[in-house]
Amino acid sequence: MSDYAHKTTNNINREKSYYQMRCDFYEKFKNEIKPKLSCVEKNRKKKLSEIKFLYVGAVFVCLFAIFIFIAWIMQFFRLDTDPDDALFLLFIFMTLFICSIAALHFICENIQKRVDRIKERIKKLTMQLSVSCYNDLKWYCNTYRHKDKNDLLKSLVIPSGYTLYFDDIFEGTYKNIQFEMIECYQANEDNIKKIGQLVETHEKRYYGANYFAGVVIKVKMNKNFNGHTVVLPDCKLHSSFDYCRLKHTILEDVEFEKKFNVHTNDEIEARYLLTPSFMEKLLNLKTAFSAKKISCAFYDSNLYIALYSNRNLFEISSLWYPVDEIGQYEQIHNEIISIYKLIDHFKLNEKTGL
Amino acid sequence: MPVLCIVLILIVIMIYSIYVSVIQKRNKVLEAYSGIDVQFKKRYDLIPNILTIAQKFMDHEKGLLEEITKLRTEALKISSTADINGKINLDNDIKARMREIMIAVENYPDLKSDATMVQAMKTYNETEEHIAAARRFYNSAAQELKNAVEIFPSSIIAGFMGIKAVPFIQADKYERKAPKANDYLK
Repeated sequence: MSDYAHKTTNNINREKSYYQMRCDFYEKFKNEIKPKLSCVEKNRKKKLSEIKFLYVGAVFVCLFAIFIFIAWIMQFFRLDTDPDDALFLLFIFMTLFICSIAALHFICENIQKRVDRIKERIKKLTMQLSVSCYNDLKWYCNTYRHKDKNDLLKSLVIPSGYTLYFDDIFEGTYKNIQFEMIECYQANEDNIKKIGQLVETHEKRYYGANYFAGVVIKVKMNKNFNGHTVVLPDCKLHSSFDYCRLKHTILEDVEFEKKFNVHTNDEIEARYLLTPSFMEKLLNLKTAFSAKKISCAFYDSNLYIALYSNRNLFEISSLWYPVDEIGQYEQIHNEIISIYKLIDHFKLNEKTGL
Repeated sequence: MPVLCIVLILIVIMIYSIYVSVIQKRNKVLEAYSGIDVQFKKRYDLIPNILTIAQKFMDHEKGLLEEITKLRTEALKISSTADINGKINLDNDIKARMREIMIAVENYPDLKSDATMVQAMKTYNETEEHIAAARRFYNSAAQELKNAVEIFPSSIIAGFMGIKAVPFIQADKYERKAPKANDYLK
């Protein structure tokens, strides 16, 4: 076999199909991950029973407070007949009522803090186990390098002017393409209870139609370029002030122009990057990935693709459900594979000129 | 009287804005043409490198290599302000000859695997893509100017100023011809 044919065969063997990846994932989960998850599950059950005990305590305190409140009210009716006794008991019951409300508040806050801590620990353990199914994939949470955060904002793939928070971050390699997958969202600081942390009560992270929430994928582009080109969805999402140093340009694809606006500082380079084939793939991407909106930017030799999503992705840290059930890991697997599919969709590992 | 003044002022503003728009469109065409020129220059600078490497291996293609050198020298002599179609026709001839070189390279395995040649061909392909992008930009600018020249009321202003539509860049005769598999598979 010639060298060229041998290399091609190896490449075919190395490049797994999505079906093969799924089979590998199931096998690895069954043989390696599930046994490790049993300790985490035991720990979860223990913590859950502690939390349940605290909830029962909170219920009792609540009932006690209600009882005291009723008794306190009843003292008002005794003020005419037995004023001294009634006043004294009014004072006692009022004190008890305030104390029980304070205790209830303390218990509830304590419960919430404990739940958050336990969830964070479970998530850390389970996500690290989950990404071990994939070669060259690393996971981080709530952290992003300052320099990369600046690049992300400078690329203008997401609106500027709002505080940016990070959730799950993946770094990996697929078909020799280095990529980063950054789950992030933008919000006003007033709407976030704890700055920099995702609070469970704010599951709906869209605090208005103008902010970004979803996943940004950063990939090394397979073409060399120096300029800055941004492709935005056709809606009033981004402030025009952000793009005043870029020129709005109109491309030939009519369907593409109806759905996207292109801003660039080099019209020739914009057309070099946004070939008719790329434009068609971007149009199909919305359907393929069920994304509400998509924007992309070519900046600093990287391609940034922002997929807007209402869902909180990559979450397997619930306290109330078993952590060793495969369902939630399947969901993570589907979400990671969808990013691999995106790289395949745009043929970012090939230099075909399309 | 005041109403008449306002109407006249509005008409003058409208005429001026149409005038500015037509000038901008014409300048955009010139910018686009200049962009194509820049890309052509990049290609012409790259051709000698490819030919130098190819000459070492391709003994039987000397005639083709000399033809390309001659065409390239002619293309460089044409000034940037010359007729675009003439320049593009000459460039199309160069492109066709270079295409023949690329096909001929397949017959020389040593040349094909030479690292310098591989890099040169990669750079050449990127340059071709840039030229295609520059042509798309030019055609887009030419279309906007053509619309301004042909559609009322900007057509009147364009007529007064002597601004005419420019031709679009079209595919050359080599690109229009459908490739025959028999020519390559022997």
